Amino acid sequence: MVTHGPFPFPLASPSPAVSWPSASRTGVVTGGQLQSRETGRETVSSGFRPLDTLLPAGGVRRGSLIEWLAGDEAAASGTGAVTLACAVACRLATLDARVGTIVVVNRSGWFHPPAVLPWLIADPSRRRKLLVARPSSDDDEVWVIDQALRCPGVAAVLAVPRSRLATHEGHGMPATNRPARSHSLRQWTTAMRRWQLAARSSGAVGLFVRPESVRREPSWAETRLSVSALPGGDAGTRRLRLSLAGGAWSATDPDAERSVELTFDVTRGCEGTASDPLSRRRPVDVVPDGATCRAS
Amino acid sequence: MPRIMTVWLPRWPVQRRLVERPELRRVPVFVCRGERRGLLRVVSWAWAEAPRMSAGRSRARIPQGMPLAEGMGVLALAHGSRACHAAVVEHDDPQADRGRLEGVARWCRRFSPTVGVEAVQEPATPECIQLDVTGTAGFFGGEQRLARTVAWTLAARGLHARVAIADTPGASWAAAHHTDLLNQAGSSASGSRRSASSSVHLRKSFAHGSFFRLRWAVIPQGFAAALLAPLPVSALRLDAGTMAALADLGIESLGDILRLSPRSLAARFPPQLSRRRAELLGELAEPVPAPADGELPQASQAFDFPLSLTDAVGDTIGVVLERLVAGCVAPLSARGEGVLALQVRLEQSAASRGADAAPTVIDVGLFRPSTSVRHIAELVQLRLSRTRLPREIDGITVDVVSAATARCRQQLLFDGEATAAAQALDVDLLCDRLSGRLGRMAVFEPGLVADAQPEHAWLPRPPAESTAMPRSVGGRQGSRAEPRGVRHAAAGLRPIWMPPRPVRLEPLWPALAAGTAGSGGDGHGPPPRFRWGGTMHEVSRSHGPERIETAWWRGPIVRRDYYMVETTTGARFWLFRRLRDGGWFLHGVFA
Repeated sequence: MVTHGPFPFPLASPSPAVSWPSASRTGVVTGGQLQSRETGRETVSSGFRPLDTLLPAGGVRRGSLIEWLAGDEAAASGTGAVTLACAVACRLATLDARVGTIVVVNRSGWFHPPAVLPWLIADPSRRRKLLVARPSSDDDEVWVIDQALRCPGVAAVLAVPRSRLATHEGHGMPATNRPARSHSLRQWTTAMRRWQLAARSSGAVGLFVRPESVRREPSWAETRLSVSALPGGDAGTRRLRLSLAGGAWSATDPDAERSVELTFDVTRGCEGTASDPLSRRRPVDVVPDGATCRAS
Repeated sequence: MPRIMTVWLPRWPVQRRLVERPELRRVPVFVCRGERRGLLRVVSWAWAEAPRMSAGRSRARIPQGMPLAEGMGVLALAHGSRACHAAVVEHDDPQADRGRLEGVARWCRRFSPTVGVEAVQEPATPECIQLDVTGTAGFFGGEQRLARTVAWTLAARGLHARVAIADTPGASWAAAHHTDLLNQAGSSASGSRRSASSSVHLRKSFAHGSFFRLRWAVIPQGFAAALLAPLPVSALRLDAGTMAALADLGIESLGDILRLSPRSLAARFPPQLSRRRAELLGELAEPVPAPADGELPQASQAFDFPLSLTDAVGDTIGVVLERLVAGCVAPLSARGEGVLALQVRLEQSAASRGADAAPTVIDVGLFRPSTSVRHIAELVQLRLSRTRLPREIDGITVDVVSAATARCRQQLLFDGEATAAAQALDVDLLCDRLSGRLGRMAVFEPGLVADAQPEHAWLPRPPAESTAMPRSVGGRQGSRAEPRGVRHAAAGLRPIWMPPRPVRLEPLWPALAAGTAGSGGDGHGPPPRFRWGGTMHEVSRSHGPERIETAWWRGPIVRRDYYMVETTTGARFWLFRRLRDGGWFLHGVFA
């Protein structure tokens, strides 16, 4: 008896006489067809020119997923990734010709809407809506994201799944909001594939903020961006560094920019200038010995 | 002997509004009725989250029928003029009040099949629901448990209710309106080992304190006259003229009336008094009133044999449910209405429940009226999947609890508008689905509130409310829940990630060098280092302070100095120093 490797049947290369059925006839999609299908979808600007240059499609492609990797603790790290993702979601809702609904999946209960709502109500002529859902379990969280991404009336879904805030014992996170266990990698991968298909079917964009520690894990996101804060800026502006950290189409253009810096006007939710004089209050430098002095 | 339960929802016109718009809980709410020359009279008023009163001051007492201007004056005397500025005044809407109360009555069918709203004369607004609980109390473990269950189940839905069970509708009405007095009487009888009745059984009951609580009361069979005797004459549902005539004669309690002969009462007072007395004692029959606006549809399916839910019968249940829902939706859609809330009852089989057990009840609510059988059946299935089901059931009943006019939209010619309308509907259906699985409180649309205290700067609102803001008196939109002079903070100046409660920090102050103008927590800046989340953060810059002094009306005044601090890595946090004791807290992350 002859065995052929791990398979119980012989592996043989197809003979030239065998003709493979065409992809169009069988419904099998080749890689080239998939890419052309993906590139055929509508792409809109994120509202941040440096970010657009970083994204493989030159903007945010509708029906795609984007992962934002931020610090060790994702949302708790204070890098501004959640705020930036919210600003992009607002931009997507604004450009949406429809109602423009944003769904925030707020598992931890820490989402503070007043940081975002003024951006949405700034232009009363546009009908935009912010919905917040608070799932209480991993399964509910996956289901809520899936349902929201599947809904044609939703422009963007923002979630901070797989939160590491659970490790903050005794730091104010209520016990009921602590995730009992995080998704296993397999569950996560399956869920993300479901979300990808859901987003494709409706055109909604999924924006997920996750910790840097998941950088090595596989992802179904079209783009994975690493966000880090840079010191500087005044109260109304922030300086952020974004770098490509993987994603489905990250290797398609080897000449693409890998890292950019942007100035984020957090009062208006759009790109700002480095010398934005919005804040009239000067920052106070804290010197190491604890004495404070007003910056000149 | 029949047993009647009365559920009293005090100040129902205001309570209904507080349930629909929770943000009104923070301010005084007046519901007024307009009269000639623009005079507004108070129908009902409440301040759900009124500030604590300082010693020596009492809460405002504003009786029904008082002119609004006088009511405002009373409110200003008790709580200051700022309370009047924040007050919300709305026109009364008796039809809506009655409609919502009938919705609650239909919801109460889980406790008894015979439910009705009390009959009152116009223009009074009904506030009571009456249920015939004869023989049904056993399903809930007895009358006391039933009364307690009703009170607390309604409380879980945001409704404050007083519940009483007695022999007649009149007696249960009187007891429900004076549960506090009965509770006091029960406590004193229990404490002094003396009871109002010579009955040994009753004395034992008082000793155990098992009949009366603040929110509910159970009058044992045959003891209505004895136990209700100390109650005031207003417990007899009399009009103002009759009560004034009784007061003139020094008749102040039900006991005084019950001691007089019926013939004497009939000769001296209007016939209403004799009738109410007879109804209280059960000498004159008083049926439980039926809902006025016609029955809402109901559909049920009884199985020949108990259906085991442990087997794989999900599809069977689904098919049955869909058929029952279709049976309920069809008559509603024929008159242009849709389902707003329905109740599914799974009747347990006798073999399954062993002893008496209540049916498993599943409530399904929608944000907008729907006529889509598929959508409603899907919501029911979502709830079923998260409910602990009995082992076997004998039947299923689908009962429409609330219905409203369904929005019918004409097909649009242009594709863009048609698509937008369809997608708005999709979002509504999404809200229903999410709330069906997560619960109604877990899906909301945040709204800004002009409150300086950051944790109170927004409120969750039901998604449907965004397009239907009720009109208040004077044509203003109903947003006067906001104190004047307070503006919303600009976005970006507030953190996007905020813990529900401020997290106390342990700032690390450096040792003060001799001759250095250090801060050391003396109020001149944030700490240079603090530990949070297992990481030591070095503060490089800060913006602030932003002083917030507010919330004097909520209790202890809030006095904080907020700083937006930036660490050496560029991360930003929102810290504040509590001015009362100098403690440092983290109140947000600019995530």
